[in-house]
Amino acid sequence: MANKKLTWLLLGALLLSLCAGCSGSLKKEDTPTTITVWHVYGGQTDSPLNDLIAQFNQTVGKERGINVQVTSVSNTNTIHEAVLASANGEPGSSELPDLFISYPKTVLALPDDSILVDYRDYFSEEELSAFIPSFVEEGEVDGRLVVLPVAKSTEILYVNQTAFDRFSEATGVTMDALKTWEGLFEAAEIYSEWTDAQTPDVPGDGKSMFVHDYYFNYFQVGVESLGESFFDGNRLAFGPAFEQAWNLLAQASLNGGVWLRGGYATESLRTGNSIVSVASSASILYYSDTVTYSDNTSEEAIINSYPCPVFADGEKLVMQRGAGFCTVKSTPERERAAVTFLKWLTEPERNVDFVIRAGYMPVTQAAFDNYLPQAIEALDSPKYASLYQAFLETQADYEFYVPPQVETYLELETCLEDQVRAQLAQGRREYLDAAEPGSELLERISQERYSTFRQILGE
Amino acid sequence: MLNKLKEMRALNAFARKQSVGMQHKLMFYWLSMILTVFALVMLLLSAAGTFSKEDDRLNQMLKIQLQNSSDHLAEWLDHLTAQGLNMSKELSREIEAFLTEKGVTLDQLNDHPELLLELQEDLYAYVNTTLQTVDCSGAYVVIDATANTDADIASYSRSSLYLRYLSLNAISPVNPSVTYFRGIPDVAWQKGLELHNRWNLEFNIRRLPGYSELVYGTVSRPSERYFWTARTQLTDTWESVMLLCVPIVGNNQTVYGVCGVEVSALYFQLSCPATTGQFGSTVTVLAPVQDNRLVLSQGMVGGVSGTYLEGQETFSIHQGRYFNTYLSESGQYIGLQTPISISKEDAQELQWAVAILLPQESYAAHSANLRQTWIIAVLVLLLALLLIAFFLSRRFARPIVRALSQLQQGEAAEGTIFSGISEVDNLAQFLSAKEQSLKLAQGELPPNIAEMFDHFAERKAMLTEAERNILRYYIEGHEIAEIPDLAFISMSTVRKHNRSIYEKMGVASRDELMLYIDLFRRCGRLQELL
Repeated sequence: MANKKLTWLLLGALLLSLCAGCSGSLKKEDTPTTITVWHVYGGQTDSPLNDLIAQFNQTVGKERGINVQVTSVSNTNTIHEAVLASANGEPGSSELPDLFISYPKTVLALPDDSILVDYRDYFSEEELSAFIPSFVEEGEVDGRLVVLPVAKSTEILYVNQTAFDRFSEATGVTMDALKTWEGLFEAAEIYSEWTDAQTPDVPGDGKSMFVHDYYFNYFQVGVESLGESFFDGNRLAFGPAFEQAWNLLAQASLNGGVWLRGGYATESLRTGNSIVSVASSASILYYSDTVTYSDNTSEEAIINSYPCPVFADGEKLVMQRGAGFCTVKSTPERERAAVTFLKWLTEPERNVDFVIRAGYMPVTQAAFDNYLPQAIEALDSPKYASLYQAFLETQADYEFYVPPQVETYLELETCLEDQVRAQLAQGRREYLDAAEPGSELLERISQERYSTFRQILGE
Repeated sequence: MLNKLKEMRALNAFARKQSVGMQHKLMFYWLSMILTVFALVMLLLSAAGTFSKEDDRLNQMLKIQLQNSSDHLAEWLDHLTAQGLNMSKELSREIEAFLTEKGVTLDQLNDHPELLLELQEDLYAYVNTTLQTVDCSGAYVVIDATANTDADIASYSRSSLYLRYLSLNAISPVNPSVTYFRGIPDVAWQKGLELHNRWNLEFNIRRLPGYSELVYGTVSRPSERYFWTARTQLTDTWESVMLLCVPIVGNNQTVYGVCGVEVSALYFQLSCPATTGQFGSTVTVLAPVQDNRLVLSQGMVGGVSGTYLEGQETFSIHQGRYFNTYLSESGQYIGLQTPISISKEDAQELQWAVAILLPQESYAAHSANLRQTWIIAVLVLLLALLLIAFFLSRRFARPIVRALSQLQQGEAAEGTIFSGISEVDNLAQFLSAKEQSLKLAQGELPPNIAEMFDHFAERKAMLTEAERNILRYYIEGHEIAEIPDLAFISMSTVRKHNRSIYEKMGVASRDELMLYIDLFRRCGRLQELL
């Protein structure tokens, strides 16, 4: 009997040691779970998010065996194309990363949005209730929360104050003119004439005062602020308010007051080809304090921020921007790692630390209430202090406009951006080449270009 | 200590005096034998290098990977250098043609932004073609002239055209976006390119250590002197790059500037992904070696998936028998390295090496797992041997014990003991025989004889009184002839009684009867017949 007991005891010990061996073989802490990220925060500049990711990897990442690797920092459109190519399995496309930045429009364009994690599977209701509700709603597609907000931006008016003050002194145009679109475009025409007059021997070399990063947003928010609907289903409505916005822009453009080349608004400010722009608050990273002219001389410039202009007879409406993070479904381990990072990034204090360096607003109420005011006070860069002052004024005086989820959104946006620039640039050339320029000709060219523009957009 | 030893000895002596069960003793012998054999096997395995085999296997794996990576990098960088040299020749022809057409010298390009713009418009195609066709992340040309010699930065600012890929999320993007990093913006606008977020008009040659030696030194052919820079941060960006610098040499040995290609840290990372194997993730590194230190911050680091490598470490190198150990404050790695020559007449004199790095913890975890497997296997084997020893000794001892038990119970005499072990059975027989002879020696009859005696004695009861009387005379030693007188009967009656006695007692003759009587007498049982 005693022998039997001994046998069973030994067998039990053996089984236990085998089990211990099995569990011991998974040394998770030795091989971190590496997750890849495509994001947009910083573009080609020093990325504040990359710094935070490095911080995460060295602290929480090391503790929990997670290593976040940034494999692309670009813009939402590039990511949109890459994500769609990858999701559609197009030849030559990259493998989708674990995390990528996207607007809901990218998710809507996906052939199958079930490849994305529903954050409700990983965030408790309590955790989600910490976020600003409208930000969370924006990330919902077909009842699933697939885009998690981490930072929100709006549109801001940036002014090269050094250059504008010179212009103001010479012409009497004040900063008040930049509060409305009407005033801004009128000032742009004056600026073009003024700069042209500085080189009397070279006619028609006036410079543009103004550049808009997204003319699509100018029209969208402008039309909506004038009480009209911008979209008509999946197309543009083209109501009278749209025409009103077009006429203002066209007149200033044909007179040379608006920069119509492609690229971001920062380019023309950096090269001294324009001095006022409307762009995302996140563009602050790309505005340089130095303007470099074509003769390789450079000038230190003060870049100030102001709330976005509005139509004189329109509501104070401004675009709410800012994409969010999508997590691609993979293994529970990788998904958990990705969500761990996102939770870490959206903790109120850290979220403020991140957004304040990137020109964004935080996404949780606690961050707004408890950390943002102190962070703004502590800003030592006048450029950033000015931006957040404009942010606060915008928040106090404006209503935020959130674009609707329209399937053709990106298509319409891309087409409108190209065509506004192309048609107005052609109009500008026609006007410059005309033997007898004047308001009548200007109006005719404007209408012709609008008609072509509508035809192309209508198709 | 001495007392302890004495105690142990005393215990041992006591244990020796103790009687130990046969099975336990047998098992103890089995175990002794097993452990001896086991120790021998382990000794042989150890002598054959089984336990250091993992180090050897890791060494083999690292060697193969290092060879592959080294071949790949040598081929890649060689190809890039060849393309850079070719680009230099083409740019040299183009610049010479431009200078001839305009009737100016290189120096006369200074302070003429319009000429520099024209030249850049001409050179754009070459730079762009190089970028698009060569396996790199950027391409550039620096002309040794500046747009404004009066500018504060004129001493280190040179006209340049530098194109880079905007987004590198794939190793071979089909239609990569190009960004305009350095150059006159009009060219970018003509070609529909975005200016880089940190665009600048000209190139800061202080970012190219060795530029002066390359441009102002004596060079007759580009292949005579070229070099790869150490990894350098692109100012105000999150990216860092290595640049190939090839002089653009004209016919009269005038150096017009420098051109080459760029490999960004991200591009290198995507081009050389980490390899995950049984020992963990291995990372490919191309870095300069200075004072027996591998300086990652100046080199390139491949994909770091599965490791915590940051790419900024400086590792001190410790050579070992099977692999090197690389130590830094942030961690410990093991690996191998081999020198690689990527520059010619490099003013910096950097000694480059290709290295394969594996996190030490991964290998330690692998070794621990392996050790655990060995321990489990050894324990299982020992347990199995123990069980076998237990069952075999029990199987062997059980019949012996049973036989001994039977012997104890006195069954030996019956001759029914069979253990299957000849020695034990022989012993049982021997003991049985010995018991028999002992009984005989004590006067006991053999059992069959005793039975015959008993039967004979029992038959006496069948005799009549007269017959019993005559039998008594016989027992007393009287002859037949004396009986008539003694019993007062005739001889014929005596004979008649005799016949009856023989019949009842089961004997055939008087002699047989007398033999019985004699045997009874000898056995001391004569009174049973009286």
